[in-house]
Amino acid sequence: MRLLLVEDNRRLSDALRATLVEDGYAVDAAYDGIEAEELASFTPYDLIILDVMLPKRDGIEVCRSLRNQKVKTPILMLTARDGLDDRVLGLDSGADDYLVKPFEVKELRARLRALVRRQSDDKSATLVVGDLQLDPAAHLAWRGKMRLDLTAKEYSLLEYLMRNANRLITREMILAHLWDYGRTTASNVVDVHIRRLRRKLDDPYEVRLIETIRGAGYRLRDPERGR
Amino acid sequence: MRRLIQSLGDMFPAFLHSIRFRLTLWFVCILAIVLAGFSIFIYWTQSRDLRSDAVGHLQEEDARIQSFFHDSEWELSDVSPADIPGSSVLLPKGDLLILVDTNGTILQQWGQQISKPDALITDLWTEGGSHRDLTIYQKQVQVADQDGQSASADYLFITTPIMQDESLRGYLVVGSMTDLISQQHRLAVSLTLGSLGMLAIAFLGGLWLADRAMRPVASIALAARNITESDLGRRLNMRGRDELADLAATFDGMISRLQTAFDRQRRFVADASHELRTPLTIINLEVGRVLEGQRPAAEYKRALQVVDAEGSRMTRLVNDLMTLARMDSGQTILHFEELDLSGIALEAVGRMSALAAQRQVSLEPGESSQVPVRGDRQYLLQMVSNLLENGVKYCGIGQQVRVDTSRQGGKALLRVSDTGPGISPEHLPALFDRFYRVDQSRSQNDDDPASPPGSGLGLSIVAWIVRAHDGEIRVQSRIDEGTAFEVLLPLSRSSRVGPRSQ
Repeated sequence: MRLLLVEDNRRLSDALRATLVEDGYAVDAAYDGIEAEELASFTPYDLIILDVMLPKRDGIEVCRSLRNQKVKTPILMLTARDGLDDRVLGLDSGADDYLVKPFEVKELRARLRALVRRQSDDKSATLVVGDLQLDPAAHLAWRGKMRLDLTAKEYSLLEYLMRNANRLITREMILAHLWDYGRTTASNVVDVHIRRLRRKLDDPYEVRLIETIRGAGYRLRDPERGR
Repeated sequence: MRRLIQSLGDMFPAFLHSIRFRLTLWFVCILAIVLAGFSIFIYWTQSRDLRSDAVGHLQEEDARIQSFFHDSEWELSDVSPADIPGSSVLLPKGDLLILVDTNGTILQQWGQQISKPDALITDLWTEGGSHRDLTIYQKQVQVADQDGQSASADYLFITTPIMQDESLRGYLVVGSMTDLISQQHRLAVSLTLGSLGMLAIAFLGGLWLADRAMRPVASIALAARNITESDLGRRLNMRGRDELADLAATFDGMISRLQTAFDRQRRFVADASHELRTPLTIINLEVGRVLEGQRPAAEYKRALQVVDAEGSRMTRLVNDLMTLARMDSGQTILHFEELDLSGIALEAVGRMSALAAQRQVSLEPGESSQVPVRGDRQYLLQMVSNLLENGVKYCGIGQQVRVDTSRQGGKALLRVSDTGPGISPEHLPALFDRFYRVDQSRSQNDDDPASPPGSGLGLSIVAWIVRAHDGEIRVQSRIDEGTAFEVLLPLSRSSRVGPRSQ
């Protein structure tokens, strides 16, 4: 999951980013409204966390402008104001949800998961592909009865593949959704992570789920649907 | 039914206490007094005129009869009406004539017959006393009408002595029927009824007028009731130039001031909560994050450092908020004493030197002649410290902050200047506003975890302290050259006397 974090207070932004990165999100941070709008309009984010009080252009305006540009990414607004009018204004500008500071980490996570779930076709809380199971709330994945011991990045990769099961996923798509702009990424970083994931997911089993499509990318195959 | 009675009972006292009712009542009372005086006057003059008419008539009659007795020879007991010339004219119907001797015995009685004439004479005698002269008496007597029935009628009597050759021979009592009493009675009744009628009309009319005059008051009250905290933007906007329009304008002015105060308060609360929510969110995030799963000790330490920094930020903010709240509510008590302003400046420099060293800003006391002022030591120290801290925080590495004290035009001058980035002119007017920050994205220093937290209230507190000391504060700033805050305080009185006496 690739996420844009727009918060002008650097200390808060850093703390949020640390938490989100640990949860496996690829996080880009923007510190003002203009920067946020630029990033959001040409990057396919899965989620945007948007503070209302921003320098240069406030969150409400950014949100409205993004929706006018047909950017459909789910937006979670953060605000210090909790009046009814503020909430109504936030939601009316096109935000999908609204979180008032201060909030608990658990609540932030739950709201983000709910927003992702709302986007996908499958509204159930856990993802299932074949004998693969993934629980975003608990951050756990199983194959059959075996729990998979995954790193945050591997987990995100698996989640992304499962959300797009039976579809061709290019390396570029994986890069765009799982890596932020912050670090320079080696060209083979996707292959490395796929290889690691395969080692845990496919190597011990007879049926291999991750297929390589030569020259194009990867596909997570649902054996039951594939037949 | 019971509810109706109750509501009437509730309404009625309210009506009795209403201004329009009381106003009308007073008005009616005054009118009643005027009418009563007027009626009494009318009654008095009218009855006097009526009476004098009747009495004049009687006296005329009496005089004619008297002249007969004067001019002719006669015996009282012998005289008969026929003897009196023109007696038919003399005694109109209903009138009566009684001749009495000196002892009061009736000798002759002509004209209308009355029952118990003796009693009448006795009455007249006792009422008149010894003066049996031209006194007029008014009496009600029993007369027999045409059918022989006895009826009571009002009579005026005049008693005149009959003299013959300088000697008293008897008395002549002339009685004339009169409707004086009934006329008076009618007059009194019509005056009373007329007055009551006028009072009733005046009461209703007064009530109507008062109601009309008071209607704007009711509309003002209704409008005022509808103006609540949430829509202080509403105004009465009453047109006109009368007292009520004046009242409405006063009211509107008051609402405007209230609205300003409310808006300021609301913004202050919103800003304060925003400032408090950010560190709380950071603490929540950090703690929530590191409490999940096992982590290396260094990570816990880092998280605790973040929590510590945010904690001190909040402490500072809450302290400043409390200081301002106390200042706003007038609970701050200043202990004035004679102080040397340069000493305070030096002490503040001492306090801030550690911070300046940490941020590699040069902080030095400049020119510092002794400047005696009267003030509260703690607050003046806080004032100078806040100004110095402000300067240090906005300065970059290697820049300098200095503080000078001097006398200027009979005032004590404290000047805190820095060679920092300066403040652009559009920010200067709002510089002392609460939570106002020059850099909208918040200063870089503020985001630096190593820097002491600023609350955004420091300069507001400075401004309050200056005001509380009857001083004034000015700020001059140029971009890229620096900023200078100048505080002017009144010189202590003892010092102004001091140099002259030497």
